[in-house]
Amino acid sequence: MSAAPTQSPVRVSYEEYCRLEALAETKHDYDNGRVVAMAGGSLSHGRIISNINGECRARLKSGPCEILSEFRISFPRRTYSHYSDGMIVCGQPEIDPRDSSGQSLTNPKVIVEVLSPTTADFDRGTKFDRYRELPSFREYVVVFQDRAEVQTSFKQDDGTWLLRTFTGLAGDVPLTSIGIALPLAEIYARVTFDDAKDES
Amino acid sequence: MTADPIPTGLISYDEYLRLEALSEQRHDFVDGRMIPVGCDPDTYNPAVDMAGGSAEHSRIVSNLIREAGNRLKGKPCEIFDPNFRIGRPHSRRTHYPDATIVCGALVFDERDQSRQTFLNPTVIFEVLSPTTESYDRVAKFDAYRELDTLREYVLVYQTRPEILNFFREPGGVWTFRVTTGTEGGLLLRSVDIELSLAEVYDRMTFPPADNAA
Repeated sequence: MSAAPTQSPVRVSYEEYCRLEALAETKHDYDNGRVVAMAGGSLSHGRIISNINGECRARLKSGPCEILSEFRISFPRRTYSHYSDGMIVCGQPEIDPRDSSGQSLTNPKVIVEVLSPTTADFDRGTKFDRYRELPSFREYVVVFQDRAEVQTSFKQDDGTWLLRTFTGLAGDVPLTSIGIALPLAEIYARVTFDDAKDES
Repeated sequence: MTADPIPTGLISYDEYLRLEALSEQRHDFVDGRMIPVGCDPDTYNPAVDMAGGSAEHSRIVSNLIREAGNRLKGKPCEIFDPNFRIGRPHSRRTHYPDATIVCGALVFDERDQSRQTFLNPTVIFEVLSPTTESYDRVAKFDAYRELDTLREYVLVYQTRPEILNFFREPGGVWTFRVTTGTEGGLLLRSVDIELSLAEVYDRMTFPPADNAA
């Protein structure tokens, strides 16, 4: 099991967080004044992210959307800032000018999170609520690493979110907002479900 | 409140029923553990955590029961308060929702002789508190979705006027809508009533939205 994320004891401002993060060697989220070091991921976590990156890159190459890593997501209120496991931006990525590090984007359309046991409820609940504040955000993809299951939440034209679950290794996960589908077998390539227990 | 003397090891469902009947404090039953209502099973520390909710939590629950109760008068569905458990036969989880709407006859869990556990909710309401928000939002919802009769799951925030309304569509897929503010109504499609948001949030005041860092 990965260690729970550690928090700084001192509250810092958003501007201070941006300054620190530009210099930091490891990634930290920002949550209501606290800088939260992100826990290390398991082998399964890393493999799934690589698999999704590869599948998305191949399918999005000739279109207006791209999958990005290494950037944070910036929110309308600067009370929190998060890294996601993957985000897809369509059209020009908008870098948040309020973040002095230049490392935050404001307009992801699709966000992917690969769940860890310690973060699963937060990722599926509160974090998703925060992502819903972003005007561009249309689809949320949550990937379990201890079993072959992917849940997507898609914002329909009338504003209603559609929740769908895809299990097993046959079939695809449709990303309706961008018109591609990811094969479950590829998402979970090289993943055995015992690896999820060996979190660093 | 004094510390709650509940067993620290895993117990059976029958043992839970026996102990719960003797307990003044309500406990959910989660995978063999008794968890005081209002605590998150993943973080619960019996030596430290106290059960119970805030006055705001209680106020919204009262508002919901009053408002939905009024709207349901004369209809075949009825709203129940937090004293009733929702369970399934052979389930490893039993919860006390903040409010439940049941349509038609109550179907009780026969294993519970005290007749406090029913199996056929149509609508479940949970008023979210900061300590249990993720649990109510995710793990509890996963468990509730296993109930065939459940058609609607309503999450009411107490720190801001926002309601998430999850609905099981005719094909079986779940959708959710977000309703904000204290004007207008919240439609509960499964029981065909509309709750006034002003009533749900009666006597609640909210801090102005935080627009600065």
